[in-house]
Amino acid sequence: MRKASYIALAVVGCAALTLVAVLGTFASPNTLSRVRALGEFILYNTFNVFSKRWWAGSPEAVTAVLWDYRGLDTIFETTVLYAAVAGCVVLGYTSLLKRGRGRDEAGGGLTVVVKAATKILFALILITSVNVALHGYITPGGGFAGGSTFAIAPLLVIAAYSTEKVVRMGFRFLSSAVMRSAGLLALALVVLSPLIYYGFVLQNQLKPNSGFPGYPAFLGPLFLGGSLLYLNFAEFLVVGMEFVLVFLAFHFMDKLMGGEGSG
Amino acid sequence: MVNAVVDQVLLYVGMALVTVGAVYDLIAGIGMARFPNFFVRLHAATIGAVGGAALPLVGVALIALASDQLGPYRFGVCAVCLLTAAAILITAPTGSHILAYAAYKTHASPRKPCIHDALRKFLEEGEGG
Repeated sequence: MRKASYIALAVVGCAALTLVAVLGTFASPNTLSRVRALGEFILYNTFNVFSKRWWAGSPEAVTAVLWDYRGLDTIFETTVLYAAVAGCVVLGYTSLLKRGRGRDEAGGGLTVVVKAATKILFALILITSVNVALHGYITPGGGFAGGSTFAIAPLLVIAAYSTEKVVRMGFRFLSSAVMRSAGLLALALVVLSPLIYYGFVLQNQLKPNSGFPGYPAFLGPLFLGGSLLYLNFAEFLVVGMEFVLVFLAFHFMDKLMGGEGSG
Repeated sequence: MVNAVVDQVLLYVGMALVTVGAVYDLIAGIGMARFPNFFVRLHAATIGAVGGAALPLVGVALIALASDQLGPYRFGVCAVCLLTAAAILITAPTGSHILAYAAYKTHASPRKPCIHDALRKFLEEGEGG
């Protein structure tokens, strides 16, 4: 019964996120032309020494967008990362607690409230991370953001339960190392396969002087984003599995150094 | 005609929820400043998170549903708001619970003034039996 309710919650969350993703893929030509005007604005103004009204004073347009025109985004991203790490540190302290004084329950770990919330959040975080990675070419996000989000899920389980629980759930040292390498291989495959058609490395769409026709950009009314979709997913695998690998490596280091482990 | 009425109702209910959320935030702010110790301040902070963030998000979802100028995007905005509200409803109480638990167990915060301490009895029973 409880399992069924968790599954139901996961399905509802998945459906809602898919709805958001699908709605995000419908763009009108009107939006596209406005985006183009925005690009022109940035290119014209970023380092325009003759018209300094809107300039950023930096010859690097991408960094200027990052820290000047859209600086608020960057500040919020940094703040989110800061808060996330602060949360991780708190979780680390609380999981240190359970080593010192007596265990609260038979299985060890934190209280039943935290465990129940972790179960729900685990499913939601996994869905969200895949979602962020898979439509990262439409909305902000992408492989790196999705992978880092994915890594939070096992970290929560480590804090609420134990590292053994993560290993029992199927996050193995070897398999995460293999998945990480598989992600990098997929990345290389997507990047290099245009060469077979006498195209360029990292080629996405059809370009002049290239035999490669380009990765598919549309599927009916949906945008596919050419190679970006595959690159995002491959990077999601690499980054997510790398973080999991690092967490597990710390655990095994703990064991090798003679610590009792956090069982 | 019916659509317009429904839109108006959604708009006003949503705006009312946002306003109530602002009041909750004010109460939470006063509580953070005036409450005597960590544990009751945590209570005030959670009021700010649940009443002052989750509730206005539900209001924003209703307002988005009533905003026809957003086109199909209004459903996306509504879904994101409701999901975020649900996530806050799950995480904020859990977070304050575990913060209070950690502060209690490490004696990181003075437990004065203390009117009722149910956790001590629970922990003593647990360790005794």
